[in-house]
Amino acid sequence: MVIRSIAKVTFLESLRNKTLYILLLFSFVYIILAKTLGYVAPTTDKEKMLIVAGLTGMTVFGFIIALFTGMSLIQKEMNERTIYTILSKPVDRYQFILGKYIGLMMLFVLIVFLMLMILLGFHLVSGGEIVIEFFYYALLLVIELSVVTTVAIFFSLLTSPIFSAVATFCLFVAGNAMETIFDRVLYIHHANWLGRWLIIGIHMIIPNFYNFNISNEIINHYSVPPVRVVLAGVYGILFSGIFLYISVLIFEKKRLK
Amino acid sequence: MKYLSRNRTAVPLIVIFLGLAVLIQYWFDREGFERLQQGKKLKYYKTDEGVHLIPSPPVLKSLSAGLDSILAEFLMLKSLNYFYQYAYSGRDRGYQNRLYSCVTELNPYYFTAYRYGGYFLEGPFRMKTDAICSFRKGTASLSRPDLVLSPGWRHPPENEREACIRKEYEPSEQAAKLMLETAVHYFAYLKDNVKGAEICRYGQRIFPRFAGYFLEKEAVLRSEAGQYRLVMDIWQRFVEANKHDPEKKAAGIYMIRKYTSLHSIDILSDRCKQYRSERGSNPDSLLRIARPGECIDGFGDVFMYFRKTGDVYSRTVQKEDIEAQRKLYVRKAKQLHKSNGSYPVSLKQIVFRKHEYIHIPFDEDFRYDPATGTVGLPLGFGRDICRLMFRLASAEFMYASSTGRFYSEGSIQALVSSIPDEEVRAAAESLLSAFPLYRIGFIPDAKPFGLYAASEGKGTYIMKGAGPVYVRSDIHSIASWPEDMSHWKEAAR
Repeated sequence: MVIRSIAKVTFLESLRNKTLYILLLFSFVYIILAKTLGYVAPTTDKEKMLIVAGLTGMTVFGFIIALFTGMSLIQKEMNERTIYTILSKPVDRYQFILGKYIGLMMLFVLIVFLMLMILLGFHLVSGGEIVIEFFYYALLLVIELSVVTTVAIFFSLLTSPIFSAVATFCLFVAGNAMETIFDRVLYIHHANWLGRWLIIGIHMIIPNFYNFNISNEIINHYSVPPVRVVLAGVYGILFSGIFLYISVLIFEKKRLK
Repeated sequence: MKYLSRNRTAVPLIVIFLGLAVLIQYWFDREGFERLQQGKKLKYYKTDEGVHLIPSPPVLKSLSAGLDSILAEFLMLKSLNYFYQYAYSGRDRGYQNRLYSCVTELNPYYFTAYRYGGYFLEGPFRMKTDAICSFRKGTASLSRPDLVLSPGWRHPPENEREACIRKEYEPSEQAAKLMLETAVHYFAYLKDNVKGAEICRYGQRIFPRFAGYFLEKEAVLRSEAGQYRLVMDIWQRFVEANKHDPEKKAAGIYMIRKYTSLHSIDILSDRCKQYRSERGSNPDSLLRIARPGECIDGFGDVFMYFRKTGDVYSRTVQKEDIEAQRKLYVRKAKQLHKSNGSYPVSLKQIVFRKHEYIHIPFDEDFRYDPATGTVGLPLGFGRDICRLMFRLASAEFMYASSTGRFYSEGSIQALVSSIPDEEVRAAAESLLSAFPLYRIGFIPDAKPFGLYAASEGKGTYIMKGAGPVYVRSDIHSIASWPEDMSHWKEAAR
């Protein structure tokens, strides 16, 4: 009940955030302008560029929103001293974090849904065909944003907001790069045992954001097996859970001044 | 708004600020426009630095941060631009390959990138092994991972090969097509064009959607294999399929005529060879070995025949190379005009390597007007072709640039013997006896022009002791020699 209340408040509070609307506006404009990229497309499939740019826009703007909202989720409450009011009531710290997180997830679902609807609307108007993979993409994007948010919360509890944003961004890049590095080191360059285990270790510890990316399959009209989506979803939920749990542990021990 | 309505100075201030901003913006735009115009007047070439800054494919993939699909699209666009700008200029070929590698690394499902990579690298860049690699990479990436083909799948019996392709076809039609294309290019690489053509024919049957593509590819391979009869059939089918499209139909008819000529040349050359093996010498004339109507090529022109070597040539087919070259020069000159604002001063300024395109004739052979950018037929139209031919044919023919005709030794002697001026005639006869005919040419654009002997490819006058010798450009109306040729003699001295 407490978690639900906090989630609801967080969601409604986020909706009142003007920065969010500006970012959303940018994302909509970007998706609409993506249509014009079709004129410079290297292939005859002009619709492809709309999809490519549209999906990329969803990811980029979603990531930015997740990064900044996740980063300021706890910090803002602490700076504005509202956290004391909440925690002075019969609310556990884990409930506070969980409620905040769920509220943000509701926001992400709404944002991704809106962006997807705009993209699909344009796609339909242009004579495109809607396939199930678009919805898979949206689902995986929400899960990806959830991981990004939990990572941002985790870092924001450790350091300053700016550093937590930088660290989250670096982890996101590293998470995307590990796929390629892993492939190269293991199968092409044949690294020595130390290098191999080091790479394998890092690859397993860092969340692999590339697992959530199915844009290449969508734009090239390849089908994505549902099992892959399910596994990627479970993978994302697991990592979100891990980071959220660690965040709760840190927050439990944190001394609030 | 309330504040604006109360404060009278606010609105004019805002208007003034806005006006100033508009003025500044106008200044920026105008400056930028001028710079743009000045930039256009500068050199045509772009520096390489801008285009070469690209990391290796795995590094790019690692740094893409999940934006690999859009990055792949932009790099594909860049690769196309690079190809169309520099394909024939001998720029860095490895860079083109690098671009395709980056695109396919970023987006392993990019079917078009594998195909373009294969075709473009094989074509003007002549990177055949890399082209095959591109196709093979595509086949490997797009096919079903659990499907393992036997190493000799290209050579198995028909039914087994079909089964292999069908297996590929089920998950991805594109992968199967790439697989066939790999095989076609592989055979072309091995110069086994017949096998490559067979694969193309097979492709037409199994992929009706790609039948047109495989049909054209088969025509190219059969042509390279010398199977002109089959090529004619293919173009016949092409004409029938495009009978409602006048342009395509005309192109098809042209190809039929071309390959009819080449086919006839093959037949006549074989007969000539047979004649030589039976009688020890080549026939005096094509009429001895040709059946009625066989001496004429697909365009209605009589074949050229060189008795000493037994070679047969079609003039029209060789002319098409020259015409293609001329069109290329015109196009390039227009491109330069568009980018620089003026036509190049000389055709030598046009950048592409001659050996990458058509070998002969060279740029100096064309008639070029720098004011209008028009490129005319070569000055010594066909001279280089003929020089080559004359060497082969042991100086049996001579080519007149003004009339565009070939003359045999006999006809030149008849021409010389009919010269009314005794001095001139004697000089011409001594010239003919002193030099082999292939070293004697007509001075282009001289009316009447003189006979000269080419010395090491340079058109120097050779009038040693013989004095100037002049013949009229229109050798058919030999009766109307000019009465007074003294000024020509003086000019030559």
